[in-house]
Amino acid sequence: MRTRTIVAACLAALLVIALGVAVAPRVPTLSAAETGDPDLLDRARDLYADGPRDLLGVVEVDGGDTTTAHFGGGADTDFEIGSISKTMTALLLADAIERGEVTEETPLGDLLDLGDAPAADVTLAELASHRSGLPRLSPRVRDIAANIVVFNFLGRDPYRYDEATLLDQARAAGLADRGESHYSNLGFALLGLALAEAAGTHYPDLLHERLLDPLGMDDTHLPRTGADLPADATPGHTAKGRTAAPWLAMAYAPAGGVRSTPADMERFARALLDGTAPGTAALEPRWPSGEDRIGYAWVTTDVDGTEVTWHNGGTGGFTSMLALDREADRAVVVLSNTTTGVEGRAVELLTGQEWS
Amino acid sequence: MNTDLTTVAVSAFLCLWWAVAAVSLALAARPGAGRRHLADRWDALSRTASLGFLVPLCLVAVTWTALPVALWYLLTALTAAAVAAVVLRLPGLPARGPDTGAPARRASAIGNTALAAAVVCSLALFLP
Repeated sequence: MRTRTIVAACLAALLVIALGVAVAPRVPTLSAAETGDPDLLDRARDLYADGPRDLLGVVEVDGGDTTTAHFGGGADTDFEIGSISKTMTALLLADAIERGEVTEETPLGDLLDLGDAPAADVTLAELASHRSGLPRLSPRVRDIAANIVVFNFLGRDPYRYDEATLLDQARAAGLADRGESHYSNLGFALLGLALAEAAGTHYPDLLHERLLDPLGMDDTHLPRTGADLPADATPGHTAKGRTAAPWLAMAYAPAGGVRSTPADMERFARALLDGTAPGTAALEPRWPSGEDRIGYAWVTTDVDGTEVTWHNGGTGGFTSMLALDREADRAVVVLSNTTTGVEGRAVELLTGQEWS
Repeated sequence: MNTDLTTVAVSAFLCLWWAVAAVSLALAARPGAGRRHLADRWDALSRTASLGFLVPLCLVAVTWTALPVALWYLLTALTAAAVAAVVLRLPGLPARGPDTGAPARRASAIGNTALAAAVVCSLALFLP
């Protein structure tokens, strides 16, 4: 065999190995750069040491006291909070009802141009409690196909739709099992758009004016484009072992487009506990939701005798959980930049009870 | 991440497919490999390109948080060995086999190469 052939074979093998190493999936582990309360760090480390983790921010509110544990990052590290955004939209609904802008029986069609589409008939309360019968996501085949490729395979933002497209999706949607609990991101995107319409503004402005600014949540934002992201925006990690593209807050922002920090989420949790957040009536459980009960977005679960009011969040590269024990004036926030679930252990931090 | 059994099974299947393809190619590249030997250079290109399609497919479709990442490196090493075996075998292969299957192998090589190139270019452009 000629030397030139052997060299070529070695070079080809090296090229394959170099490419393989360059694009290799990365599965991070919990950051060892720990800051915060030693006791909470110990408890959180025990709970979150397993599985793919990276940055993790834990906030524990207990009456007037706050303790934090940060694994990488700190109080001002920004995370995508995913569907916890829905709880903010829910507060805006309760607040808009208090202001007399809408009622919970206002049909969606009164606020948005939906023609005679079935979605026009659903009420704002049905949207806020996931009882509208709308599908979880856009029912259009092209959107479903794009979602599979864009999100599942490429790890990109699956919700890059403008408001006009959102309305087209709503017009295409039918209702199934209306009155029963079926989680709908489409429903919450429409709810946010409707509330903004009722207030004569855009959703990001509405959220800032009525919730974020009054609560001093200055580092909480809704980036609509990549340019709106902070220069040091925290990257998320997909379950496929790659960096996730950030989810931007376009028409689906009311369902999951907010980025926030542990410090701001502490302010949010505290305002929810002491009732100073606008629209806290949203937290009251009013309808059955599986084995739980639901208010406007907020789920209430009995955990071994402790009533926990909560919502979790998940995006392409982040997971989050906000859990409240309103009776004991306690709250736990957990923010993470991997897709490994944080919910059950957040409730365990809150109640001391295991929860699955 | 709440990895369900289906996710693990699909991921494991894809990795197994990749492993079988790499090992098969390496074995086919051996001189005198029997019925599964490389018939000509078009055949070598076709099978290498199909492996080149499988690698990016596994990169984006396998839930690597559900499997040991060491598996990625093992499969990369297998692929490197298979590609090296093909390169070593190439000088001994006819450019185009004399049998009736030659046109099909040529078409397959062109198709597989185009497919692999399209997948790699798409991922290079669109992966975050």
